[in-house]
Amino acid sequence: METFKRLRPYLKGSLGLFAISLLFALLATGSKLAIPLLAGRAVNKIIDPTTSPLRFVDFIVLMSIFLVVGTVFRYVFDYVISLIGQRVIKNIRNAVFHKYTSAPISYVDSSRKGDMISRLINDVENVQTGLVSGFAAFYDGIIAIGFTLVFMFTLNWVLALIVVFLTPISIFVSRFVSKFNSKNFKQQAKDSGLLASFALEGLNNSESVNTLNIAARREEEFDKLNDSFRKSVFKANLGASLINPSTRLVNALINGILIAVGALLVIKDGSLNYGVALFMVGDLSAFLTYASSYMTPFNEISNVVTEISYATSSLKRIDDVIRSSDDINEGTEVIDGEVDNLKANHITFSYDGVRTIIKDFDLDIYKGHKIAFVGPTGCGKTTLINLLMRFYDPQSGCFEANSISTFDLEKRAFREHIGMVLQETWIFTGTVFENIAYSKKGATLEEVKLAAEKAQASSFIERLPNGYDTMISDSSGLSVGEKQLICVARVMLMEPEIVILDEATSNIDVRTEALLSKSFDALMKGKTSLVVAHRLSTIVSSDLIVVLKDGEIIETGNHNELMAKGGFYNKLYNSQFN
Amino acid sequence: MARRALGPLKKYTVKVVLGPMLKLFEVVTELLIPVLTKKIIDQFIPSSDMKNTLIFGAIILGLGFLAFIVTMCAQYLAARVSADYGYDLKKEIFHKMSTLSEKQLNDYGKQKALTLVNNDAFSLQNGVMMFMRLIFRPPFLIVGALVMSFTIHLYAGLIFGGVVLASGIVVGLVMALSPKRYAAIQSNLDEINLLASDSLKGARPVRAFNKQEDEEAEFGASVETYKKKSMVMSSINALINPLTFCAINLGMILIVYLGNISVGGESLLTTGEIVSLISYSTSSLAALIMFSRLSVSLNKASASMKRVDAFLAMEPSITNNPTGEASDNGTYVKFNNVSFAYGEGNGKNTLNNINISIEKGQWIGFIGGTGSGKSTVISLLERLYEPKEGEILYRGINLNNYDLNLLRDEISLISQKPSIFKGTIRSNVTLGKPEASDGEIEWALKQSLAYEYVSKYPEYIDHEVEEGGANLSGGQKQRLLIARAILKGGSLLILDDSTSALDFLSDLNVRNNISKIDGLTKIIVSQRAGSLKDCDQIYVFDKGEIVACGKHDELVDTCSIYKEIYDMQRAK
Repeated sequence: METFKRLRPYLKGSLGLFAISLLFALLATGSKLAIPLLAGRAVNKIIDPTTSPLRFVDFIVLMSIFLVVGTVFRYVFDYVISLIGQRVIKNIRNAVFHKYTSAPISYVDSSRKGDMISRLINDVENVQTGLVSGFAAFYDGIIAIGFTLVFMFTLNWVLALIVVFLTPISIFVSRFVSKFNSKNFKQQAKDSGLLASFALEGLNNSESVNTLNIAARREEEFDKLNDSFRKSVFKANLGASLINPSTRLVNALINGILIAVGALLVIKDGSLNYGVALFMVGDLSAFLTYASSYMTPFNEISNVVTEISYATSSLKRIDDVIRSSDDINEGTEVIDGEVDNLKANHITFSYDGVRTIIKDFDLDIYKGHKIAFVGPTGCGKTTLINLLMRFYDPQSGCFEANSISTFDLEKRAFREHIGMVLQETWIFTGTVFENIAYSKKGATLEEVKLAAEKAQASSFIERLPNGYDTMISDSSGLSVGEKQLICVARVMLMEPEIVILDEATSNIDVRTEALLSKSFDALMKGKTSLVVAHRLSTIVSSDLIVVLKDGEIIETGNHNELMAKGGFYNKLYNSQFN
Repeated sequence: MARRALGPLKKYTVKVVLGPMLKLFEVVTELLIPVLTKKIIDQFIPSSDMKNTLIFGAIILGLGFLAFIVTMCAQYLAARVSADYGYDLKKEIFHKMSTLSEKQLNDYGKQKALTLVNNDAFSLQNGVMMFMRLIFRPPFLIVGALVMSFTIHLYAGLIFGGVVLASGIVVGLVMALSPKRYAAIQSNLDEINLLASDSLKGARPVRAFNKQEDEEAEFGASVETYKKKSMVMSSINALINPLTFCAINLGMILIVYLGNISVGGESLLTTGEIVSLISYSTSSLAALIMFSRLSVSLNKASASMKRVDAFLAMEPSITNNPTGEASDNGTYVKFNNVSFAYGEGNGKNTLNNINISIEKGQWIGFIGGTGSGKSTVISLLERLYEPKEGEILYRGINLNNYDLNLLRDEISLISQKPSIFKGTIRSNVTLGKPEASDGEIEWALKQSLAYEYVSKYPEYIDHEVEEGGANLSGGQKQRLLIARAILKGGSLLILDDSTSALDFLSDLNVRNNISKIDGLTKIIVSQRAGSLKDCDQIYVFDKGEIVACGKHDELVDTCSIYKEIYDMQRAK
């Protein structure tokens, strides 16, 4: 029930179809199972024409009708079920992806990307196979069992009772096999995952594997994983290969008993008085057909039960995503015009609530100023950018824009004032043009080219095989420096009011950077900018340099003031010449 | 072409042949059962022979048990052989991966190479299993049933043959239509995967540029395409069940009809014959469906086999063939007119006429812009690639003739790319020297200043490190790599722009620590002129050539590019 409640929103518009599919299954399976009964009766008619008031031809006509009905509705049923399944897949994927784009950054940061993707791909498919196709197969199976029983009892209640008494064996065997299997398959999937990630790690670091000369050792480790994978594969495969032979064994058992007893009943027919008026060879034949297909739905149901239980846990994983809270956006105010001043108001922040990253940070930032943040790794520079962009929110204090707390500002409207280039480059799979134009809707090729020129990126872009139309991706062979230039070009194109550069040029060589800094100066002219950089050459021209250590401001001033002070900045600056 | 992918299967030839033989036995028993049933119906029942009826019933049961046991032996063999084969194959693929050169791996594609291990090997192993389990069963069963039905009656045989043919055509058509569509759906799924992973990686830019709706629209379009393509495939696949059902049951109706026709007062078919014909057609249908499943796996396996064959056929371009006699009297490392290009053919050279000469114990600096060729020189020295022209002499002999293992033991490289393995601080630091003691580890961590943060972990050096060092910052990773290289030892230490994430003060301290280690020759690749000030020799790279070399003071006077870099870094 819980599961259905979770699934319901994605079944929107398909519920009626789902209900009708039950009718299709009844028609398809009912017709299919009626044919052997009629065939048996027809055979009786051949042996003894007095067995039925119907003509032989009537049997043939009836069988043909059921044949057509069964064929058509089987197709309709299968088609409808895959349609519903595909609709569910689509609805869930869209919902999960929507969640991913609207979730708070902290959610994305703290989740493993591989896991998030696997919810979007594998779990969604599990839900389709288990809860839509699986559920359909489940009730189709129940219908088949029901009809088979009805027809068997119609034919001969004694034989039918024998089958019913033998049923527990079938159920026991198929449950046993599938339980055994699901455990083995889980183990196999786990071992396979370990093996793949080990191989991937080796491939990603193949240069180091070579230069550290550890290939032989890696092969030994691989061998261990490979060997345990072999064991689990063997177990899983052996278990899976039990299914068919044991089904056939149970069938043979039932078949043998039925033939013996059935033949006895036919032979003694008339002399036994057990409420069956006539039991002839044709009936026995029909009965045997039912008995031989009787096991199939049990097998299918027991397979499906495993699939349904997988799907239920997959649906739970999807539901966890859907239920996770959206990024809060409680602010309603919008800044009219430009941001005239920015202020950090006694901000204190910790990612985990234990270790404080930013302590009582207080700073006034004036319009048009270039502010630089300097300090050793881990001092909180990047965290400040996270807080300003409201990717994270401080425990106390806040940023203020035009004296309005950013908590009260509409998040997305506020972000429109800002353009940023981060330390970690982001290149998505697409052309160079698309990657740069990302920052400005409807940008023309001319604009993009101009931005690339300003970003000193045009010379390398023009050398690419298809220039601006070259497909690139994060792993398409661009150097880190080249990727950074593309990210810079985005901001050049956007020309935002406030510019944030977080180690934006750390992998760009000094000469290119020197050329680039001119473009930056032009871009940032009259604009507020916040810059984080290790290379002190890029920040000496700042209006204000903020030196951070362990989340606290230890010095502020411009370059000359700080040099004169002879403190931490002075030491840091001089270290580059020693 | 030799089927390299099937090579490991040779060891198991006996088992591979034995398995299907056992299955053949099962088929024979299965074909016998309807014969026995027919006999009961046509002879024993009309003559009220209860004794023989029971005996035959018992024989049917016994055959079932026998078939079960024999089949289980065959299934055991199939599971055993396929698991062992998969193991051997993966071992061979992984070994091939580690012998191929960096260039070969990159050309081949690392993602594709991974697919070989986790997908292709698996589908081949699965193919072997399905082959052993199922290859003979369906054809034997169908042919056997066909023969049996012809022995019963010519018409019955024809009807039966027609039914099998019709079902075969349906299954065959669907099978022929599926693979291409399946591939199209798969590539669509790859696209969905890519879109999602791009936007998750870019969670910050997506939000910063307010692009949420655009991302969702693009994703939504891809999902819609997926749905459409899947529906086309489903609507084809959904034909198998109803059409085969239709064919088989049509056959049954015809057989019953045939049973009603009598020629000269004699029925064409006895009731027992009708019953056994019906039972043959049911089991043939099952065999046919099984065959369609089998051909799906075999199709997959044969596509995989092609890929694995091609991969295993690659000859490692860099092999270890030590011949020369090394000597430490002359120059330690010498590049003579070395040129190099990454691509094949007429592409532009990445390096042109490089001449370098390094004496033992020297401190060498490489400087130049991005893409100027500094790191390529290092890769050549490590023999990750080989020069296109010119030669590299290492300890007096051509690098290609120097023992590759020895070379890589002697050189400690800290590369630009932070390669951190999943494990612990300890497992990562000791990669180059597994037997290192705790004391040695601590010493190395202190030299690289990694000790500063590692000592704060409660688990200290047993602190867990995520894949790719996801739980470490850029600076922390670099310090860990430096510690690894220092601990590894060797006689040549190379720092390839490996302090870019350290602040200047830490950078200086690390360099000071390294300079105190005795007997090392050092190459420092850097973009910071300040870092190279004390070098015995600095090579200035520009666009794949060395434009100048000398000591810092000389270069400031004579090399305009060097002076420009230097001046910019001491910006006023």
